Amino acid sequence: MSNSNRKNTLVAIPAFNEQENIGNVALCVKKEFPTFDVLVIDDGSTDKTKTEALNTGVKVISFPFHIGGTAAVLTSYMVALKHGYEYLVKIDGDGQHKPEDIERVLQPLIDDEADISLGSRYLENNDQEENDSIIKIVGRVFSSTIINHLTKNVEISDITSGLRAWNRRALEILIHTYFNEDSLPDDSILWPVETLIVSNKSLRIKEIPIEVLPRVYGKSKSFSLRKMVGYPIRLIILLIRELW
Amino acid sequence: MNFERYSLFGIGFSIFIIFIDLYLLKKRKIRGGTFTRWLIIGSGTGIVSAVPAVFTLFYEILGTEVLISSVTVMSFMILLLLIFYIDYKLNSLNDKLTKLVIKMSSDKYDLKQNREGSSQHKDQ
Repeated sequence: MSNSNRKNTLVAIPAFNEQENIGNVALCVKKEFPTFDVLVIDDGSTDKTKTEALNTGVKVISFPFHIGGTAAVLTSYMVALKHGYEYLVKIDGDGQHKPEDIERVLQPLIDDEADISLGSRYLENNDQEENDSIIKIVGRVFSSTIINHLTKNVEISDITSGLRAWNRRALEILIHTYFNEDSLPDDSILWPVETLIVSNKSLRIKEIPIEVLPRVYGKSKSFSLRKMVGYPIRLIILLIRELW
Repeated sequence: MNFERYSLFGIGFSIFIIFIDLYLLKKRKIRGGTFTRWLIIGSGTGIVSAVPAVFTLFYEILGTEVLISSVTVMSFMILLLLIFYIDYKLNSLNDKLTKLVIKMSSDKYDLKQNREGSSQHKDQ
């Protein structure tokens, strides 16, 4: 059975103010994988993201106000667990991921080679690094160094990758861990924190090379001055907390 | 290096704030942003207490007669502790609210699914 015929997979697309991109992303995923359930999680957008997503006929969860990426991702975990999905795939709502890469990212989970699979921009694809700005490269090297130092058995080349897939076992462990903590991770360090949990709980993680397309509409929300200053500080705090 | 009594008191107070801040971080009770904010405030209080000459800058700019009184110092410290407590509580409420929204959103999705499922069943 090919991956695209599986019925037990949920594709989650968190989105915040992505009215120009979300319809196209949702439609492409639906067209590529007609048997997969597609869920858009609208993180309190102030534009027409929710309407555009609903127009494509996919399922939509809409937050009453903007809460952040962590809440959107954890909601997709909860929905996948409650509805008995075997696999969850998360793809960005900005149209930078190719929907056909979903199948490749899912494959290690189906073959039971990993519990979590990540799409990496930097694995066997050095062209991507040449296209990146110096700030992006420095940020990537810095975060990878810190996380790879903190983890025992995990080495990740693209720690902030937005194309990810989880199996049920990983989702159960992750949701249990997050909900047992008093404090949820900040949006910018959700993936580094998750990598630490993966390492501590001995979950298997695998990276798959993918290509990331440039944004067609709108601006990236990851490169505001506040986020660029806040991200390294939060990583250092994470390092202090883990080493202490 | 000889410190005046008020300097020692201020440094002790700043160490207290930084200690509580680190403790809450270790216990994972505050987010990184809140920790950073209070680390900066705690360090700032310590520096100002250790080098009170910093205050003379304000003294010159504002042109006030009295530099700082013990009542002001005590009020400032109590106010700072209160803000710290409120910030910590807000941080904690923010996390509880986020978890609540996650649970409610997934429950709402369940209801929607059930309704769709039952209407499909009726149609059949």
